[in-house]
Amino acid sequence: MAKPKYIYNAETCAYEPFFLTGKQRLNKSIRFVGIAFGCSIIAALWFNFNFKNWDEIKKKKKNQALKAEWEILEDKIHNTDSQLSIIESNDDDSYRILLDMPRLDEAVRKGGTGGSEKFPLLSNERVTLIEKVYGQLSKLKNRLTVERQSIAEINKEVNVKEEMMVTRPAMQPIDNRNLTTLHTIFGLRLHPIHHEWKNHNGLDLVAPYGTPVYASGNGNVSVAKMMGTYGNVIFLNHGFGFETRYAHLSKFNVSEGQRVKRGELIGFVGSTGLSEAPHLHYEIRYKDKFVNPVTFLYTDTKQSEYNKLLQPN
Amino acid sequence: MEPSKFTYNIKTLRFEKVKFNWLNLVFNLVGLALTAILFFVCIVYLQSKLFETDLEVSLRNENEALAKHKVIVASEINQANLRLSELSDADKALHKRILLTDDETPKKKNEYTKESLIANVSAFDDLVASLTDVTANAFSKSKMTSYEFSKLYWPVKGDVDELTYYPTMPPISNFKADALVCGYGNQINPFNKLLYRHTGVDLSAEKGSDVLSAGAGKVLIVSKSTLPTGLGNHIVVDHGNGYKTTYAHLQEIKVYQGQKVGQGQVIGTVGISGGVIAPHLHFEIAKNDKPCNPIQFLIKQTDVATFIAMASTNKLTKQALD
Repeated sequence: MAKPKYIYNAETCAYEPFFLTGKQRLNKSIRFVGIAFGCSIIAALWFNFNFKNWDEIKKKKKNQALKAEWEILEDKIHNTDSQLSIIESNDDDSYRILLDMPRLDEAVRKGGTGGSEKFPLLSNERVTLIEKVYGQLSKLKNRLTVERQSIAEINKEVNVKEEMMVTRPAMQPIDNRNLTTLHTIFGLRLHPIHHEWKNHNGLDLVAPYGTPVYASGNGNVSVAKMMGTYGNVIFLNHGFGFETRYAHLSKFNVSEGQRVKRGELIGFVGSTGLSEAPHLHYEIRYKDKFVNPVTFLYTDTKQSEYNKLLQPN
Repeated sequence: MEPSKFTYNIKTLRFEKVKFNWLNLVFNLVGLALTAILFFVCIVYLQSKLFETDLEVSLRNENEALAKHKVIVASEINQANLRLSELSDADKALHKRILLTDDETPKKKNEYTKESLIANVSAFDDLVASLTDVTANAFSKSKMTSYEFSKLYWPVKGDVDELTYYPTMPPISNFKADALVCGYGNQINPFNKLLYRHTGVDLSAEKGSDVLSAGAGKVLIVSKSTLPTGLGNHIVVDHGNGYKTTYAHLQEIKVYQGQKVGQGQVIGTVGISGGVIAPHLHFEIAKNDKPCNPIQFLIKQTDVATFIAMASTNKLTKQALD
């Protein structure tokens, strides 16, 4: 406990105990607080002049962190973008050229610029970064949609091409092992029975009686009946302007209206109609004109390869 | 002036003046400073809570917007990536459907095989070019000095020119390694999917793009056909020394039979005539009527990397385009 203090009173010539009155005590504490407050005000002013607002600093830091995250998002968009570009260039520079399709217009691919209207923003959210990223994003989305449509379009075209390939007459209708002779005379020749010069519109593949005859391409059997000089004949309609005819057959293995595949057994060699000996008369018509079937026979095909065609598809 | 203070000393039984105490002063000042700091912290805290600057308002708005839209953008990117992976699957499937091979970029092995050694002949090509320059210079110089002297240089230049008679130039402009769709040798026939002997190479190019003569020579055959089989519209050029080149499936033919053509001259355009499934140029080189691999000849304007890429494509069995 603090020692009691005294003051010397000159009037009474005595030492009197000294104590502060309530008022004095108040004064003293007000003075203390005042000085402290004054100092703190000065410090606060100095702080405000020399440093940024404390809250601002905090918000700035958060802002930077968020922007860093957005940078990562932008990076991801760029990444997706470049991968999409590879697919687009495959599409334009490879598939479309191979399929003889026109290139997609650059304007169609890059179309729909404006962009951010797809992503509605409030007025206080119009930050350049957000608008920029949304712009990129909507462009990317647009390109993805265009590319998907383009691939669908290409697939459709490939379907047509594949159909064209499987329907094209592209094999010899008689196995080489059974073939005795291949008469490659196409055009004018001396008719063996009429003994006069006549157009020969097909090739004669000489083979023993009953040798299997195979369809040279996918198609529909449009005719399979006895028909004048042709004898028993099969007409295969392949589409794409192609028709093949197999004449002088002894027996049919298909009926009219049936769909056949390449390599399917359709009949057997015979000598019906205007024919001297068992053989197959093979004709190809393209756009209603007879063409020389010799280039459609692929006679140099190896036996093992040929056998693959005769497997039931 | 404040009156002096006294304390009563019990030991001496006297009133003594209170001495100035430093410790007391320090204690008081520290108290003052602590209070001031307390006030300061309160002021700064209240200021930041109660008042917002313009910058703070905009920052707060921006942060809120960034945080809100971050989630949306992230989910959009995920969706886009999903769609992208679907597309790349579709792309791979398409590649397989169209070219009947997997989309595998040829493995980059630096094996110095026979082909790559031949490819270094491009250095020889440079030599030829520089030789031409040298002789041309010498020729012009000698022309100034004497006619007789210049005559000596004629045969040298003629020998250099003769080199252009070899079919060494890729027959399509802007030639790149991936233009080679199907190589020479046993390949798949597109129509019946069987292996057959492909006596040339199929170079993919846009319909209507130029076909160049691989070397100087004379046009031997110009043949036109509308039949969708065989070579279609095609040209055969005789280069001498037993070399002949064939350019098939053309759309347009720009030369006539017997015409002399130079190396790199446009002789036609790429088309789809004949038995094809896609626009391309079917290019054959034959020596003494025996077909040989054209890849080994195309050294002009072809760098080593392109050459190696072509050589590795050539080894694959792919679907031909005719």
